[in-house]
Amino acid sequence: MLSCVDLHKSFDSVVALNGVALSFARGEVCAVIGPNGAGKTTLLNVLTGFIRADRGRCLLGTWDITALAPHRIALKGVSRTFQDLRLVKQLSVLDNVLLAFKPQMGESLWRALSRVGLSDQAAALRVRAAEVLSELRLSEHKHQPAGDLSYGQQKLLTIATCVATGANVLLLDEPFSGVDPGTRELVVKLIDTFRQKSKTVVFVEHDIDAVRRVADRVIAMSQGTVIADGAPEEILSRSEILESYL
Amino acid sequence: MISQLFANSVIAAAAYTLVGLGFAMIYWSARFFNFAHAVTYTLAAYVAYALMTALHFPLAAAAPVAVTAAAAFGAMTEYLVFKRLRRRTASPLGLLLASLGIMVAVQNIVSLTFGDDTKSIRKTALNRVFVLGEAHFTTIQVWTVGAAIVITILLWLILHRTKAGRTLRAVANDPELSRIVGIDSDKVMFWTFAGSSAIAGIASLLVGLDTDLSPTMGLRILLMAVTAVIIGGEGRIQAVAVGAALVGAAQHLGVIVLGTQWQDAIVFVLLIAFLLIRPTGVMGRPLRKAAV
Amino acid sequence: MEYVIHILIVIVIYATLALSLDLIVGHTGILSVAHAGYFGIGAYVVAVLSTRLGIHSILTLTTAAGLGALASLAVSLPALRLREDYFVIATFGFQIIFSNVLNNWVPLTRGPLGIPGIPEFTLFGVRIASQGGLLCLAGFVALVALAIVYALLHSPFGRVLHGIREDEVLMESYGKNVLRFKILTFAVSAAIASTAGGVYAVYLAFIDPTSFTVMDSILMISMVIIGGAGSLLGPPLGAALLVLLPELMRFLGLPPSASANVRQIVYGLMLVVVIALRPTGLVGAYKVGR
Repeated sequence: MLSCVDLHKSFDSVVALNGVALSFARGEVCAVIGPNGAGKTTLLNVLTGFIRADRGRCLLGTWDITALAPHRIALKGVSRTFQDLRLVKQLSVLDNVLLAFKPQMGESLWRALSRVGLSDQAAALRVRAAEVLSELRLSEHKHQPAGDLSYGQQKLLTIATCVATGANVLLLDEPFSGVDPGTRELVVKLIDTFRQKSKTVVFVEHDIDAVRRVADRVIAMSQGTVIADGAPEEILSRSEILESYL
Repeated sequence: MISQLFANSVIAAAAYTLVGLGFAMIYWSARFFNFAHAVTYTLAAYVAYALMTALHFPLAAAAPVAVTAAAAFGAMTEYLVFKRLRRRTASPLGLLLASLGIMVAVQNIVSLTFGDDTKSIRKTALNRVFVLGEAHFTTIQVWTVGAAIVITILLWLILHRTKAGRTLRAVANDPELSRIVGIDSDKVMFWTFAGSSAIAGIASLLVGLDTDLSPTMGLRILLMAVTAVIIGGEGRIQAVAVGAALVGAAQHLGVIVLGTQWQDAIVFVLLIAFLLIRPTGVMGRPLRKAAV
Repeated sequence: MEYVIHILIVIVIYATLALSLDLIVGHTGILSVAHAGYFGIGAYVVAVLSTRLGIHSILTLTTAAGLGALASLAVSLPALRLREDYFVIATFGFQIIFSNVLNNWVPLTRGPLGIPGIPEFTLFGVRIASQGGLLCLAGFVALVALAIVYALLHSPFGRVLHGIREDEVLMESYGKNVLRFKILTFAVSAAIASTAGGVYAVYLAFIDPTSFTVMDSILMISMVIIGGAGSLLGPPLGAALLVLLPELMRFLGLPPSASANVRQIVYGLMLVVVIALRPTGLVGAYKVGR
């Protein structure tokens, strides 16, 4: 589904990615672990087109997405969350979800001016948004500004927007960090439903328990290279993996 | 003819270097385009004018007062306005807008006080003409070029060979880290503004003694200087001089092809071309990408 | 009375300009100091069409709008990829180049002499000659502009603009072509400004480059920010305030030569105060510069 070959990326003199080659299949839930600076977030950024690799290629199915603009990669069915919880804080929870839905005809200039079909589309989108919000247990906060939500709720909202995009590949950056146990359980459940729907989930995470519970596969990175790749029980028991965190 | 145009380019480049250096120092450390620098420049010349005409100061006395006034004004804008804005998490755009407001207000205060007609502080002694080949130039113009060279070298030495300079470069590179390490970045900023404004004041007097004063003199030269800084490139003193040379050349040599009325337009076409094709400038380091 | 209508017409024209500028400043989060340029393009298009080619129809306003939108591409296509503060510098450059062209392309624009004797518009053969008629025309253009801005803002297009205003990267990750949205919005904003310029040219019957300089662009920015960016009420309010300011000065007995300076001193200082202490301006919804 999603793969990369021989990725290299350096910032000034810091090497962030040093020859990374990976391949993710449909319906696979894969965790990427490693200490800070290992290159995990850079990998996500390169795969989603926000950073251009110095060398190497990225592929989505048969498409070469290496040089594509981020919005084009997103349109091909790749969605992501960000480490720093990006949301449009001024807009309501509902509006944030509505924004994420795939190309809406109301986003064309002429439609917006002529108003043809807009109210029908708006009604349809609101129904879909309500479904997404109830799945994420955020329905009662529908009309609150996104900035007013608690950290855990905002995290859920970022996942809600990924669901709303309808993407088949979800790249999540630390979905479990800093949330209460109730929210953790919900995120675990959500990732399970993603797997059932044959979506590919790749998530960067430091919470080893969560990784153990939900991942089919664990990739360990350190200093820009993949140092281990396999089943969670096997990878997480190896001492050198835990040492690389120190 | 060509040699005269060449001489004019050099003189213009010298003036742009001086204004550009001050502007660049503020941009590299405070990270915004400070349009108030234009009126810091204008104020120095008019302070000198006021002292010389109303109080009959000789130039030698008026000049240091004018430069000090410019330094004080620049430092005050930092202390009263820009520092407050930084505390309130203003973006580079917010700081730019505030500096525009200051520029508009002060330019018009000058206009209101002194009128829009050009004023002169010229001294015949400084306007003696020299001839080199086919090029004519005046004493004050030689001073301008000399000042540009001296101040560029001095500034480079201060930045690279003194503790104060290293502190400034640290703050410019990474304000957060500097604060953690214990550097008082507010103080550094204050003195950077003061120094930059003093240089602008010197430039203002040199140019004013050559080509007279008007309330819009600051904005006009600042736009040339901004072009010089952007074309020259991010982060290096020498780059400002290189950029200024290119601007001076484009302006005065471009006259050969297009005529004097298009002088300014040529420079801005050059600016836009650089912004689009090579935003890091001639000598710049690669710009850091937007944070993701 | 005639004087009151004159002031009203000027307020309505500048309110239209401010509203169109706010579309990009307050709703998309882009700062441009080239807006007076589009105002000028519309004015000169109408002036040249009527004085040189004898076309007096009110439809020249649509030509002005079209050319304004086209001209916006000259700025937006190359420069919108730049970081926001570099983009402002680029718009400075474009504005000054435009002023230079107005002053120097004498065969077309008559340079600093300007274009006098601009005749009235004709609508179905009837001349719109009276002051009242021109007020209605200016008001009509303003209402159309308001309708356009309102429609855009209350649509998914507008929702994306507000998303771009807060977080472009996030919008890209949702599959929105941010550059395309910005370019389109810029074009709409310029088209409205150009139309206002056409009305202005006919109203004054004489235009010259001094109404379309970088200082005028800064005045328009101040109207938006002081009135309040990101709202429908703010920009027109700011326009009214800054147009009435010199009238107030004159009323207080200030000599006319000083009133121009004092007005600029006042709004220059107000701009600093607003940005520092109350970035939403008087009635705005968007905190400019934070």
